[in-house]
Amino acid sequence: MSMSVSARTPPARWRLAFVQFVLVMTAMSAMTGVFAGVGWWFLAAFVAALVLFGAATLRALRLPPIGALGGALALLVVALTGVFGGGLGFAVLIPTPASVGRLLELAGRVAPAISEESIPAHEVPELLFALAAGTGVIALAVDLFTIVLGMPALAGIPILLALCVPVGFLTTGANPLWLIACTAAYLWLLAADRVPRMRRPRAARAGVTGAAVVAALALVVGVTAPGFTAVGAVPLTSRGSVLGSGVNPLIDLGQDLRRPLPVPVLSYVTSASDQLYLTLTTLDRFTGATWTHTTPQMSSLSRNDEIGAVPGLSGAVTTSTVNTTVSVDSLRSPWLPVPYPARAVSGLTGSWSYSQSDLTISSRDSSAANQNYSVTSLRVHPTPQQLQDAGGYLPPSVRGDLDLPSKIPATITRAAQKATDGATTNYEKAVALQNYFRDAGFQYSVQTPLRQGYDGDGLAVISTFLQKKSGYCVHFASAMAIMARILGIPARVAIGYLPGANAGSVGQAGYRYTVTTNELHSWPELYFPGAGWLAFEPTVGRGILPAYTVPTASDDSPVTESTPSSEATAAASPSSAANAADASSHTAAQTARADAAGWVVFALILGLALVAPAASRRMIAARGARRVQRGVNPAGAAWAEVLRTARDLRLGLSPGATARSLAATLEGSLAEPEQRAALLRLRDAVERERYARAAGSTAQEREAIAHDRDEVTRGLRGQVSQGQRVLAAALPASLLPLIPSRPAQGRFA
Amino acid sequence: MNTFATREPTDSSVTRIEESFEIGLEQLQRHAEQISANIESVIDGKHEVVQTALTVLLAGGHLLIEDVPGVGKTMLAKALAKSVDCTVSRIQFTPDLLPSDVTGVSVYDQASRRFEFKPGAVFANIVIGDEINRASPKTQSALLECMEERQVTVDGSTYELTSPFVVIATQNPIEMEGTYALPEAQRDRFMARIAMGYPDQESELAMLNTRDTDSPLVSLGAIVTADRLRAMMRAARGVYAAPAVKQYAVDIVRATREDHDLRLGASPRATLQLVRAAKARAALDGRDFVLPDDIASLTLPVLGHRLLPTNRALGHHHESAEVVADILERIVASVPIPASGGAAGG
Repeated sequence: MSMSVSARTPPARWRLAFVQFVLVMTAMSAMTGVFAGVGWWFLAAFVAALVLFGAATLRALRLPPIGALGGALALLVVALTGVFGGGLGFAVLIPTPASVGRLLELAGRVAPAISEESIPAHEVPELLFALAAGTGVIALAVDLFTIVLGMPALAGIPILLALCVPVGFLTTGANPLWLIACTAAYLWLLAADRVPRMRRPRAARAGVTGAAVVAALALVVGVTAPGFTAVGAVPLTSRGSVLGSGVNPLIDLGQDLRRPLPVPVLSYVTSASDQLYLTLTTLDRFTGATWTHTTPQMSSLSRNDEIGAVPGLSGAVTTSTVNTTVSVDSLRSPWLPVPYPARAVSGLTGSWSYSQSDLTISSRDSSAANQNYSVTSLRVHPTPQQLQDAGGYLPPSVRGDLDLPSKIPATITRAAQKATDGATTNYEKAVALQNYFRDAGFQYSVQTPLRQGYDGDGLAVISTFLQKKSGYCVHFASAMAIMARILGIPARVAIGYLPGANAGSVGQAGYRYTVTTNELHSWPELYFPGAGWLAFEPTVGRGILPAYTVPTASDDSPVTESTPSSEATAAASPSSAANAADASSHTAAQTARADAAGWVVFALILGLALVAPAASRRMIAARGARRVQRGVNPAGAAWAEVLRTARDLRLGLSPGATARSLAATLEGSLAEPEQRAALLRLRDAVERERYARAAGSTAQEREAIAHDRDEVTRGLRGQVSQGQRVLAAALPASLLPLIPSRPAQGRFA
Repeated sequence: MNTFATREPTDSSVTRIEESFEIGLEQLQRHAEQISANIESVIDGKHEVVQTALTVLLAGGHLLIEDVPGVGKTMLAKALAKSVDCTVSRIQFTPDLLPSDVTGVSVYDQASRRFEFKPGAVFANIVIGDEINRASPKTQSALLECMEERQVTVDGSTYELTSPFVVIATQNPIEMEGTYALPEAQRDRFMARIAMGYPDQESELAMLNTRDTDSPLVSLGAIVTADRLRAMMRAARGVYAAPAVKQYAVDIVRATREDHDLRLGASPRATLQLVRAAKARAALDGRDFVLPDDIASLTLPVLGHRLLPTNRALGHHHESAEVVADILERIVASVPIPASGGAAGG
């Protein structure tokens, strides 16, 4: 009965909860730098406090440890529903299928959100949800190990997992001060747990512990199982994951390209007769291991739609203006796909700003998803002669784009020199490089680098790539940019989309194009004084060769804009139209599947919730039966089972009463004389076990005890209606803590 | 000297042969049942009262029976005394009773030319003190000293009292006329106080049918000898009280000292007697170990007469015994039973 459950003294209980809270929060605080704001910290603190102090409060209300942990889990679910459920919960807080579906949808978008966000990440709902749920689970795990299992040392496991996040994402690693603070808090927890307390015997805990572990496993499996993730992940594939600068954006790009099923990302209508590359961002800093950003100089677009000067472009170069209306489908990205160089953008929602160095447009708090906007951009038409004559002067803002690690593998340097042998000007060298990749037996493959283990964009990878001559845009773009820098040409890697498939004419406005995840692309941009940054296309079999890189063809007619064959476009349109239709029905199916998944999970949770009390009760009974068999206070265990049965059947027993008075109450509930006799035998046995001189029990006695227990519980069940029996089995009242009240009258004989 | 009368054992030879022997709990229980049946043949419907009286007898304590006149206090005392074949004396306490009447007196014997001690009424195995609170405080205290010390000191000579020595005193509620209230210190010497209470309707009717003609006490015979009673008392003392049970007794007694409704809590002697009485009750039940239930059920008889409620708790009640009973019930309900060693889930 309730008397013996962990009677931790009240101050110790609160102190332990506080220490747990400090431990969890030091681990979470190590994430400082992962997020851009501070709101995340308060959210984590709120969740950790809710779980840990909630559990402590429930224990103060005499709930058993495992019950309090379940209560804390319920609090967490309610809090997540309230904060992230979008008001879909019943009375905002209580989970409903709709709110569960909403949370699952959010959970499904966490992975792409992580890969899309750069560090420091914006506090987007997906990441905050992951943070809140993660903090909650870590706090629950800490509580489970510390209090329910009584093994506080194991609380280090969830804490280590929490620390993996900053260690993995921050390029500088987690702040060592936080790690030290976290270690100190951990030691504090180990010390704090040494407070004197009445511990339940291990044997008694084992069964409940098993239940807890099973429940935890079920939870973990439920959230991470492949089927589950697949369902949750379907919608997210449409949001081409672009650029998580934390790990390696270009490898993520490769993953996107390897996706079997292309998903529509956006469509645009452009006045250009020619197709457009849409740039998301550029990577201008090469560390030797990867391409990343330098911190850009940002200017807000909020006041004015106009975008500042195009770096390096002089009036001498012919330009034409292109109007493009972009309608983004579901690209979750802080960068806006726009043609380079954009001159003005209108129709955006949210606050956006542009980078002065590459004119890319990004937002700290909005996403490109579902944006419809118009971009005015230039098409730059430098003549080969202009590029040939481009002077050697580099403005300071571009000089950094020549930086290279001090050690460059000789294979790359040699390849660069060999490829440009005979070229004299930068322009000739650039064209020679592009030709080198397109002519020298290179193959386009998104699989080979992965299979042969050289996926990436670092020096070693590029060196291997130049030997194997097989790779995809990342390798081509990175290799050409590195080699250009080696040759003294400022270079950077741009990331964005290929023009996509022509979906037909839309009259005056031009042509509509649809872009899928397959069009995700990267290409090198090289700087030529007077012309600015110019895109090159070294990737074999992909994209369009810019006119200015084909000296003979564009010698006299620089404004010819008929590079792609209309045949190809025409051929592409039917299939792409089919693709679009496919995609839209696909999207509907995905939505239906996500909804169904929400229902299935909700039903599962509901089913578990319905079955859990009965299952727990059975486990407790089985644990009691084992104690009888093993002779660990066998009579007490059997007696406890009788009392639990009586409580399940709502027979109204007064807590704190002695075995004798309880037996007197129960005797009236038994019909058969043999059952009454069994009850009295059991009562005598438990009294003897508790209060007589200690004596072990024989196997025979234990058998008799088990028999009497079964006899009595059968008798008790036999006295109530079938409905009451079902109620007792489904909702065992014995799982609730006993509220002490005045005991039965008549204790004075 | 008609204030007390002494009866000698009817069969003194038996007493001498069975000098000291051990009896088991089953035998004890059987004897106790016989005694109980014997007493209940003259007092109807008072099983619990009789059991408590027997408990006190087995525990070797003194019993105070308090109630209004005419409910059978003296009858119970006499029946209990008659059931044991031992020396019994009865003192009728009156305001003019002298201490020497109780303890005895040294008289000068002309023949032997020296003082000779004439033992008083307390020199008996069972002493029935009728209406004890009608005697003067001086006489009361003379008896009560004997009760505690189990010896009498007269003119510098000390005389041991025989064992068993049990005083069964009756008294009227102190509010009645012509009574001297028994001081707390002296009430403390009694192991238990019981109230007879009025018989229920059925018992009262039955009594009319059976007791109308002659006194039923006349036909009442002895069940056990003094030696056998001693053996029973020894057996009762050997009953095991687990540490948890002792702790429970201590917890209850301590709770009476801390209760805000009580002016005076129970003494350490009360703790001792509570456990001793509980052992006797367990023995009567045929158990060789004490249950918390034994302690709880004896709390009122053993502690009740030692406690003084505060005036606030007393309120408009005139019966302090009722108030104390309520307070004790509350205390017993609030004191948790300590978990016995290793027994989880209790």
